[in-house]
Amino acid sequence: MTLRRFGTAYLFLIPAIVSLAIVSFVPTLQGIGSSFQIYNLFRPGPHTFSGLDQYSQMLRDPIFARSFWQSWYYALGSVVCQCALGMAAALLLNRNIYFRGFFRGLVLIPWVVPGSLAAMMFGLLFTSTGLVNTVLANLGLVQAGVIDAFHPWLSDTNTAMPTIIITNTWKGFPFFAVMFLAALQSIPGEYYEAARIDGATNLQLFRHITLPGIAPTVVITTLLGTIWTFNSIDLIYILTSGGPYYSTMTLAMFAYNQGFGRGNIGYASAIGVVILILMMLATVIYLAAYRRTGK
Amino acid sequence: MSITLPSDEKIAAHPRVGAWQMLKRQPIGAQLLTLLLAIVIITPFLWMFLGSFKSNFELMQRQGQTLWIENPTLSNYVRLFQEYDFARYFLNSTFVASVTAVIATSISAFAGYALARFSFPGKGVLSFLILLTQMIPAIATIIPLFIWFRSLHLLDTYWALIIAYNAFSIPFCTWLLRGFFMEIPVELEEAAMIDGAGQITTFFRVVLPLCLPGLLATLIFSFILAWQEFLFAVTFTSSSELRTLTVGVAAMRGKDIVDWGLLNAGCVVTTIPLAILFAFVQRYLVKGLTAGAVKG
Repeated sequence: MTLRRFGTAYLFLIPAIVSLAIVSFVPTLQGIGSSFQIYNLFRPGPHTFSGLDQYSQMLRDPIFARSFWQSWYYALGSVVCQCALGMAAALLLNRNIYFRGFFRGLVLIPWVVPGSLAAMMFGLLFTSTGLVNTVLANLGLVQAGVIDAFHPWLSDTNTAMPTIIITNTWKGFPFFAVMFLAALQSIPGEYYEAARIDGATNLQLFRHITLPGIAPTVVITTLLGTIWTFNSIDLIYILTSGGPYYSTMTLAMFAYNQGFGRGNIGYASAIGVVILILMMLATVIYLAAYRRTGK
Repeated sequence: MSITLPSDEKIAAHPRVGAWQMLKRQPIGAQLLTLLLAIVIITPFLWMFLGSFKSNFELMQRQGQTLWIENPTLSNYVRLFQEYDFARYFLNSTFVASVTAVIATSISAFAGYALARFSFPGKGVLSFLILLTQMIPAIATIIPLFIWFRSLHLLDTYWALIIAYNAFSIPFCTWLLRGFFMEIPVELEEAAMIDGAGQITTFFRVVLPLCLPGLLATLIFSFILAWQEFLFAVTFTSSSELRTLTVGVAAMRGKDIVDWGLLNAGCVVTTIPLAILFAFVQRYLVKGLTAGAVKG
């Protein structure tokens, strides 16, 4: 049904559009404006127009380049692990296991845990006297020289980012699991029965029925997960704040540190604009993929 | 533990879930893997729970901690409640999240209904704009919002958080509610209009009462989203009276000497209300989680 009069529709949309304009669109545009200005949060006075200076400064900044690549490392690393674990969980929870309802509920728990609490809990697991080192020491890996005793996972430039990715994997895989489970359940069981009768092997069933059945969901979920992770900052903020020696610095963290650590609003906004452009591109890809899946 | 294979009749009775059950080669393997998954999920909670009863001496043993508690103590909890006002943090989080949820759900109910039922010029552009706000990174808006709040003297108030949280709550709730409204049979609205009710009367008298479960699910969902938020909360508040639970638990790390016992106890205290909340809302979660990927 389509109601013919437009007035009510616009009236109903006004509160949402006005609110979003205030808290989202106008600040975003203002941020783009600040990226062309020398603007320090802690120094009062007029802001001087600087044109593209801050963008060229950015291109020469080695920390920007490093943050750029590490953002992808963080986002793609997390999403690949979340996707794999989420897929495994969905396949398991779709089978006829005991206490299935219980396990399906349990899988949601990490999703409800706030990022800051997850970060704190994994900080406790990976601290030098934490569970991970205790278990590894008891397994004799320290004596065998595989790792050094009481390895400080988050203070070592080589292991800090993988540790954060592990934390994010734990926190984020339930979303993938739930999406994949919903997709698996929408595949009619008759397809499997028919293929079985034709003598298909388990691998063939997975390759030719399961995989095509869930492929659109995998694409959509992965894209959305990448966008969210790229923008997210809370785990890194709490666990390392971008350190040690910039080894966990991502673009979002770098912009935040520039803005609120040094008051360098202009430069922070310029980095923000780069993130914004990347996210707009990702959104266009997301929407194109969404249309193609025909949902 | 004895594990019996499900009979073929059972599978036939549930053709939809039966898809993967046909690959029932290793049912014990699947059960064990699921158990392993459960252990992965629970371990961080178990470790902090055990740690919260250990003394700092025990937590910092250079020989590695023992997995079990050697000398159980409640001193961590005693110190925690002396030094940090967790009850206050809990109330702050609950207040901010509840107000945000009510405001966002009310505003979004109108928008979601307009997008679900009406056809009007500019509909495509407006839905795209609402969708787009979900993709705008928080880092792009947080600096201008901070400057606004500073000049309006809203920094370090509940309002700063409630206003900022609407940025992610409204697009999410609008999309979720749009889905719920589309599920309502349109004939009921047509019948109301034939009886002479206007569009607005129909919305309030017919549509909203029918959509109560959907509204409730949306309320709960936006409550959880706001409850989990950290970045806006840590940026826009500075006094400890206004800390939300997510900021409070992270603040314990910021001191010069890390008090591990206190940290463990703080994490446990943060988890308890969450666990209670989870028990109540679990059945609404899947719906909202899948809708988060934007149906449309």
